[in-house]
Amino acid sequence: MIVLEGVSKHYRSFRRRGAVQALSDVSLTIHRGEIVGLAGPNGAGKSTLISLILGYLEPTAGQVRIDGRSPRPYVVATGIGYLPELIAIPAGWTVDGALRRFASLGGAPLQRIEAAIETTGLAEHRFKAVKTLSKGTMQRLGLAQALLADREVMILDEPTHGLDPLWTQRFRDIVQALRRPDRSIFIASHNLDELERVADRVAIIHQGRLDRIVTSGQASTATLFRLTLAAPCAGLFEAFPGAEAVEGRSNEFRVRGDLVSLNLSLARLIALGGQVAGFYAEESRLESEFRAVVGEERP
Amino acid sequence: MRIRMPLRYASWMLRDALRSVGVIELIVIGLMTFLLINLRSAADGKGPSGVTLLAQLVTGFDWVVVMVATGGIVATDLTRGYFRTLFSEPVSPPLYYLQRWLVGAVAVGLSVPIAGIGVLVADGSFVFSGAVLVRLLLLYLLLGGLTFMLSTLLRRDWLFALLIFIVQTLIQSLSASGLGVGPTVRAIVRALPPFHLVEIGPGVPTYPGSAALFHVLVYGAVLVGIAVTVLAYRPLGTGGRE
Repeated sequence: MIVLEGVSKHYRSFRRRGAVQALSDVSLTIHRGEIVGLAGPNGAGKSTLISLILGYLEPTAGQVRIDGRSPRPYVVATGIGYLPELIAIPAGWTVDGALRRFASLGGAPLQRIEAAIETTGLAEHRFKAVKTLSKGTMQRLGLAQALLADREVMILDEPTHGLDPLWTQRFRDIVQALRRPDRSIFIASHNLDELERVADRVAIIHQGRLDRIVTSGQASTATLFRLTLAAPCAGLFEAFPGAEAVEGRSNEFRVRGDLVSLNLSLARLIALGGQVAGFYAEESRLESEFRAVVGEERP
Repeated sequence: MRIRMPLRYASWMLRDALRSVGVIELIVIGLMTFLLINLRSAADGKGPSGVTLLAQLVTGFDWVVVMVATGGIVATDLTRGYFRTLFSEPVSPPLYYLQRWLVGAVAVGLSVPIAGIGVLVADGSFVFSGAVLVRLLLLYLLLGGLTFMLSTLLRRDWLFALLIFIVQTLIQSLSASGLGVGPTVRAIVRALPPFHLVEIGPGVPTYPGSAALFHVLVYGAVLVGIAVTVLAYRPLGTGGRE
């Protein structure tokens, strides 16, 4: 279990002659068996928070505990499965060599290298030098490295950064397979859709403050939908009084509401002769909450 | 909590050290041997031989291999971000770098048998000198220890270490040759690592005296101790520079 209690972090800035407040009074608990997401705009303090959990930084105030211990002693004794945001591995190492080194350093059995290579689809790149890998393949190597040892704490920082849509989907399956009653998983991402799909709770951080935590049930409840009609329907605004036409798209409209009211409105529309060609969530509760936190209206 | 040296990783460290230091040793000693053979044939076979030749071969590039083995030893990992994946593994950073530094000493020590092969090519017989090896390893302790310590604090550790090495060596040789060196400069040089005590020098190499050995061992141990202490107490995420 990872516990952050009133954690603040200031950086001294010699240029600005003062302190830069990266995190302010953040309290968060990531239980065993749970997948917690961390969302926030650039510069919100996500990477600082992760560095604090790994013990790469010390908090200015408050404390971080992993299973009751300070982060560094915990990591030195147990290790953490960690995928950094921008994975850095010496350019001359090969994929195979890098994984063998990390397995050796982390005390992971060599058989796990094969499993990690298979899971991340790196077989065809196995003997290539790291410097020749594309961004997406490099990211998969980072993920393979994080999966090598069987850790109880996993931290994935922007895990789908640079991945193509196919691997982004596979990533979700990989994370779901990592879920275990004794494991805490923490995922930081800009990709709200990804967090919504895999995380039980999502912490939204803005300007160094933990603003709110959206739980999975809330996160999956969409509030803004797009309605596409097969043909124009005069009864549309009777069924959906607040419908807004999507600019440049004929017969497409944005509608808001909870599931009950939307179902009633759809039934009314169909009764009025409307032919529904498509109806899907355009913005989830998590996206709405995120916009509310960063103070941005939807265009 | 058990904190151990990452011995299981030592073979990878040795491999890295041999790929950098070992290759340089082979190239430099190969070139020097080739040059020496040509110089000798031009001078009708006259010139140093045996252990003296071995000492000359090693002296020619000893500081270079020490710098290659230790330059950026910590700073490169911190500035390029390699530390993030390395130390999410159950490994203690001070012990990891201490082990890497010790493995570097092994690679540097290989200069002596490689130079012995150079002598074999030039003279027809292989020689080995314990005195040369001891002096080389003591240089590693001082110059390599200084670079190791600076690497925990600065990006261009090798540059500052080299500057200190050059300044100390220059002033020490000026002082030894009887040229006027003021008391302040002499005091500064006394505070710098005593590189002159481990110099191999011309002629048949000898082991350093016990006083010199004690001075060098204590000085080197303090340098390495500071490096390990900094690594143990400063968070890596600030590059040790917060």
